[in-house]
Amino acid sequence: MINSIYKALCISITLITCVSQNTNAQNKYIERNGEIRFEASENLFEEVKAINKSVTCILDIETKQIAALALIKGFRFKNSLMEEHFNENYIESEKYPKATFKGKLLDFNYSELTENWLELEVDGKLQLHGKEKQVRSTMKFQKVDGSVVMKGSFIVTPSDFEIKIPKIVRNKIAKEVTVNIDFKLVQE
Amino acid sequence: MKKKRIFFIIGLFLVTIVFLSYYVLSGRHRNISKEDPTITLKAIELHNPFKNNNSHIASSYIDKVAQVTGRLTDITGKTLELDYMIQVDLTDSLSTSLDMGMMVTIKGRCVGYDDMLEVVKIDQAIILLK
Repeated sequence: MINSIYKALCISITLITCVSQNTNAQNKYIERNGEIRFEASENLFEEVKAINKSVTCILDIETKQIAALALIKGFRFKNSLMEEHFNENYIESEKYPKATFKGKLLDFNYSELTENWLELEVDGKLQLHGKEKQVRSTMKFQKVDGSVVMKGSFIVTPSDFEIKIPKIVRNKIAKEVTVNIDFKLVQE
Repeated sequence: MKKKRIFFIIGLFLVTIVFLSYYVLSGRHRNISKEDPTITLKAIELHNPFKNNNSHIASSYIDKVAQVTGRLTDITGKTLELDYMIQVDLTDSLSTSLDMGMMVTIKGRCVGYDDMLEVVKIDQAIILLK
């Protein structure tokens, strides 16, 4: 008798964990090739701009938690010399190989998403160059064929992350860096 | 006469400097597809040092041209996945069709480790063998 109760208990526990894991997976939306562009160009000088086309982003539509990861070496500049300086002197990508964002979508409700753009606040922590900064910005969201599209931009400064720009190039690089985001998250 | 020659030499010198600095400053990118691979390994061999936090070996792979062989586990657009652990971003769209589960060898630049998806990312890649 005790044996069969024990068996039933075991089976139900296994089932419950299976089901709960399953729903967890269903809540997850993933992007493996997201785009992040940033630009810090100054008029009259060579453009300072880079793009990373393989950014990872994971969104849990139940908990509204969002996390993104960009490998610094994945940022491509038009000018390879600029790319080298960016990696070696400014961001120090060997020491700090990635930039991450961990945060939450405020007032997000998956069932309210439609093909029309919806503006929502995103709040979280951006980590880069070994430093962390609270970032809050409005992003727009849309649902296309069941996937969640997320676009928007925010502004950071090199000093936010203690990135030192040498004097000789200081007037060629904008004080404010605009970061553009373009993600299409697909259900896992 | 002597003066003329000196001017000519100085002129030549200046022109060389201008060309050289233009060449350096224009910042041409490396052409990964034309470089020979510095490391040749299986998907799991590339993944292991990153996964096991063996940072000495792992960091030596970064920015290197890697030739990697593995089983194809996913294709999305220009992105392939090998053995669920290597994400390969191809330079060009696929010209031939690939089947899931087949062995594929690629060559590309090792960008680094994504610890969120637990994959090693490779970009500027081309398919060598299938």
